[in-house]
Amino acid sequence: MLTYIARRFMLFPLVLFGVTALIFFLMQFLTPYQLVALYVTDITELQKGPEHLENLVERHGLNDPFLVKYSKWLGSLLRGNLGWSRSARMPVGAALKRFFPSTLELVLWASIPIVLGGVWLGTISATRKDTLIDHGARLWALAGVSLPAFLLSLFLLTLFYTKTGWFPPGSISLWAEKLILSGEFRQYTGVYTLDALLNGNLAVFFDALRHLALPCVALIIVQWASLMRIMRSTMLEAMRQDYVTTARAKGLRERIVINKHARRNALLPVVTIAGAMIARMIGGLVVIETVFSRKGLGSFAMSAALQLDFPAILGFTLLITAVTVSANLVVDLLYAWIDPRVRLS
Amino acid sequence: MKVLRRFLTNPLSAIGLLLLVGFAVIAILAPFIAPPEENQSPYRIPRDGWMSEPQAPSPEHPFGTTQGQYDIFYGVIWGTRTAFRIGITLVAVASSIGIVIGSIAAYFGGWVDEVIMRITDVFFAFPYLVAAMVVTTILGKGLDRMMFALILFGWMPTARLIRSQILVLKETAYVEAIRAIGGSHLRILFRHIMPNAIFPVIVQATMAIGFMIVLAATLSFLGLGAEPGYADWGQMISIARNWVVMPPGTPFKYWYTIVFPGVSLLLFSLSWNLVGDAFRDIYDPRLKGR
Amino acid sequence: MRFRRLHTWAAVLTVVVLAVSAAGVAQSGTVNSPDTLVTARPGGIDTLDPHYGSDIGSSIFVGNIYGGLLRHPRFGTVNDVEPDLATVVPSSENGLVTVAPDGTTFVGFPIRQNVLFHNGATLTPEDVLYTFQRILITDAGYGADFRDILLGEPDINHWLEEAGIDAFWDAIQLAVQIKGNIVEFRLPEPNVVFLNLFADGGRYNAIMNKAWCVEQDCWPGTKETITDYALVTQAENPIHGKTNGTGPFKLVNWDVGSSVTLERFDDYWEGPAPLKTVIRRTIPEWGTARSLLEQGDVDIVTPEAWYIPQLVGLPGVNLVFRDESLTVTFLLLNQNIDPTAASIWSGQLDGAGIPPDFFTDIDIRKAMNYAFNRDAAVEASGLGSVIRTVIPPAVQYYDEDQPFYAYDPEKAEEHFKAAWGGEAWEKGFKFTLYWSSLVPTWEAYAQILEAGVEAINPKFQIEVQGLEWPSYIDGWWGGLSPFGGPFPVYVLGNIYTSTDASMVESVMASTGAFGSTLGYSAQAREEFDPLLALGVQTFEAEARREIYEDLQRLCYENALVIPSHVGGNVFAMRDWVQGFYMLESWRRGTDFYTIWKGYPE
Repeated sequence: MLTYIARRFMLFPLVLFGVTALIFFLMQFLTPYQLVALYVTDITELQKGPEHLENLVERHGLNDPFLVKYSKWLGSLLRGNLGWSRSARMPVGAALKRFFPSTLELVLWASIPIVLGGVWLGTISATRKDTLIDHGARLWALAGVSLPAFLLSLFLLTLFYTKTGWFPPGSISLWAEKLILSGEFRQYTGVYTLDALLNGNLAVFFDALRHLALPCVALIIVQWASLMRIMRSTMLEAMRQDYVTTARAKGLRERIVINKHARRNALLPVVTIAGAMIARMIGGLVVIETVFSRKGLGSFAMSAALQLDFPAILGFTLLITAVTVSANLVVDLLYAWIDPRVRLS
Repeated sequence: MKVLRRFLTNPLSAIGLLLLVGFAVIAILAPFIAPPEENQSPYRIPRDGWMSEPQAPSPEHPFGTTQGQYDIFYGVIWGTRTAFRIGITLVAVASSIGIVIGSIAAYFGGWVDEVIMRITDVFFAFPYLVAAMVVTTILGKGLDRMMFALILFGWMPTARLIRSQILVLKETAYVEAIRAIGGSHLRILFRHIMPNAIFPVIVQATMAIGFMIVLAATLSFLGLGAEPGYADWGQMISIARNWVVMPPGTPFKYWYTIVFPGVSLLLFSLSWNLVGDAFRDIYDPRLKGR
Repeated sequence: MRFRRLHTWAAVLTVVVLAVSAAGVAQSGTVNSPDTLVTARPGGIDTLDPHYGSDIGSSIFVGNIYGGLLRHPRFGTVNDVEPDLATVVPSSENGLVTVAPDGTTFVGFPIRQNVLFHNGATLTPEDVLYTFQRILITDAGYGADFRDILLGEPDINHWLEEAGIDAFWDAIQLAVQIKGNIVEFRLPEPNVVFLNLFADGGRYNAIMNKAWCVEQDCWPGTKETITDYALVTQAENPIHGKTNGTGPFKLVNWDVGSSVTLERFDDYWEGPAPLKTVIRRTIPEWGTARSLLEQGDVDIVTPEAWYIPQLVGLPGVNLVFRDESLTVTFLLLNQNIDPTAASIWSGQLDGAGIPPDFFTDIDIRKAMNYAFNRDAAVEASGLGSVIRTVIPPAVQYYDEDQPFYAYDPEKAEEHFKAAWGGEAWEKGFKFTLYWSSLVPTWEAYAQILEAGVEAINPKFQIEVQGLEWPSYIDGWWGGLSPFGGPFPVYVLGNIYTSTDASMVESVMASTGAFGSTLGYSAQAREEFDPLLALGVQTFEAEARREIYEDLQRLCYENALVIPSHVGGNVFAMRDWVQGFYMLESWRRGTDFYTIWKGYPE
């Protein structure tokens, strides 16, 4: 067991190294003139003539070979400096810190309904297999998986904001933002809902929640589906096991059979999936944050990718990779701890 | 035949199959339903003028026009072909690459396996959409580049799957028996292991098509896939998105710009998912013997 | 049992929370505080240091925080200049512009007294001196322009490496001097457009407070430290996010990428502004920005011209627009295409490609001009007007009688038939036409040209290809190659930063940004450069007019480029916004000083 943990921990930096090397490798396919576009976002810059662009290339080392670029970046990384993000106009580290809370807020608020709902629907679907409820739930799940996040987001925005004005885009209203930035409000974490509660300010709390409603719903509907499907199949599997038959033979009530025995075992693979879900949510987050005008890691990643802002791309990738790999590691360890069969293998 | 019957008895998979057939028919008949302009790629949606404001459905434009006067009906019809092209090509190529890599890893074992699996981990660690965005931005706009990006980061699940299948099958008594008789490794691999190992891959591939199509549409929506004016549903929704959020008086004024391509996308991906699900239900040994 | 109850509670809680949140609508609805102005723009601000401002977004905004020596009058036109932090506009009449017999010109600016910076310091001529020295040593903003006019050589590398710091410093000392209350500039030759460099009202060449800058770790102002500060990038710039200006508003907070908040500076030398707070928000999604405008949460938005149909008739919203801005769009014809480029296909005049020097034949260029439908281009852009030459109508010396190539398929056919001894017509040709996603409407212009040309002869084939900005720059620049890059024809724009016609040099000069890459540098050196040089040295209006009309005529006769149209500008604002004015300048900036909210009696 210990060797297993040790091995996983050693692989961690290797994976980070591999991912960043991959990005630098991809970067080599770009000519310096393509890279310089990051610093030339206006036509007026072009009017300054070609020498100006040449200077920029020199200044930012865009012509350096692969090894030089990588070691320079690695060197500053080891000194704690992730570089400057031209697309965000601030240091990469500061940008990540700034945008992380908003995404975290969204993920946290969405995760609970996703997990609860997915588990609940999956169980119902499995226990009432092949009934109308099962078919309905499966269709609903399928629709969730087939529906692109951007389409759903646009639809929600039209229905619940344009028509009714109930749930606006953005992270927070102007008046709340003014309050937060003023001296009277202490920002403990950067997560609006949490900070509002810590400050005892319910008005801001509900305002932040209002802005969270639609993006959360969009994220939930899309992720719920896959979780539900997996829950359903593991539940079906669990229900066919001998111990369930035994429990029924013992005369236990059906509800206890399901809840106490089958579901507990069915949850195990779902835990694994939940860990991987975080990585998959990133894709959905990019679109949802863009459509709902929230400033989070997703929209930051997108503008960095679109502008070829490589310091930002590298920084963001490091963060997400670290989160994903650690999440997987924690989940695997949890799994091994819970399920003795895994421990022994 | 038995497979077909199982497909048709389940109402959900029957719907899926029907939808898929319907889309296939549209795709095949596209040149007749929506004849392309001369001297132009049929995937370029014809523009009726240069004004920006979308026009409502009319006799000349049954589904209306979107921003820039692109004919929506044409776009939806030819977009079907694009969707098929994207879905099938992506999954076929990515799966093939995955099968090759995974088989090599499983066959050779040892440090080859270890190295390949670590490389797979590295590729896996990169969030799919972000990776595709970066690669597409590097390579440039265009459907082909986007597909390349998606394939580059899409082969891993297949590789892992086939590898685990082969590893499991390698240890079966059946294979041991053949080895005892003296069968060569390659022969074992191809004639005995592969045919069994490939089924889950096919199932996974079919289920992946629906997912890939949504991902490709998302990239187009974000401006990284097909260029404006190309017959691609995601692209059409992308240029329509600024006409969606309308004043409260007429909130759905330009509904047709989003609804037609959007519903097509939804139904297409739904049908693949339904079919894929049915496939899985049929072939998953664990669910057999219900 | 427990689980089920948990589910029920979760559901109930969710509904309650959502309901209460939705009820919160009432609170945010109609706060249009009369002393706060909120504007929304799709892009963010690049930097708050005016000397480093390289994009329109930063500079127009920063102009409210800082002041310059001169400016355009509020509610005036871009053709007029009035004093800002100087007390008068230098001219030969008031003796502040003097020309020595050998051509050396002196321009003096008397500095206004009793002007305060936001940190309380008083403006002195030393501050002005420091400002322009900083501009001269910095490789950013207008540094190159000042170096060019004052020192004779714009390239900073020349000064840092070849000429040496001592020579650099000496030249700077000579170029800008303090004489009592006057800051005097010394130009080696007369230059008419020199004054335009100062007329930005603090957007680019803003006056800084020396003491504060040095305190913030900017350049201390000494010779020894020049090399340390000349090449500073945005990341290293200490005042990238801080300000201290003389303008009517001071910075409160910059939430990078999200919003900037300004507050009234009560001690502004012209008197305090009516508005107390100004907030500029970054809203990339147009739908969101428009909704915020309707709700009254935002007062002014800047839509693209093609969204105008969405705004017409909206209650409580006014549209302010003009048909003619200073942004010109044209299609460039490359006479020196890179022979290895894929865009010329077969590389021969055989119907399946074009030779690299295809556009050196003037008939081809004229034919392309005649085949381009400018009215369609204007329609595609949503707002704007057709132009005759490469100079927009708002610019001085625009020749409204200048003949131009109107859309005429017959004449186009004529010229195509005459081109390359008739071979172009018989064999046909094929090439790729490029546009970039930086400006979405460029695609339409490319397609308009394609449609026009292909309609004339089925053997003419044009492929339209869109590229994202990085690849476009890569192609346009062509790098260090001796060719004009791999694009045969491509769409680009030119933004006139003033109404002076001298900017035509970017297209026509042999060293101009575009002229140098389009393959006619030899002709430019001979014919155009002398005229351009004369143009900036001639003060007499009539003589200048002749020169620039000559240049326009030359551009027309040689069909150097395909001028398309000049774009328009549009602002949408709530009807309670008063005092708003729009300069013709491309700098679609908003001057917050004159704005107030309310309804006139």
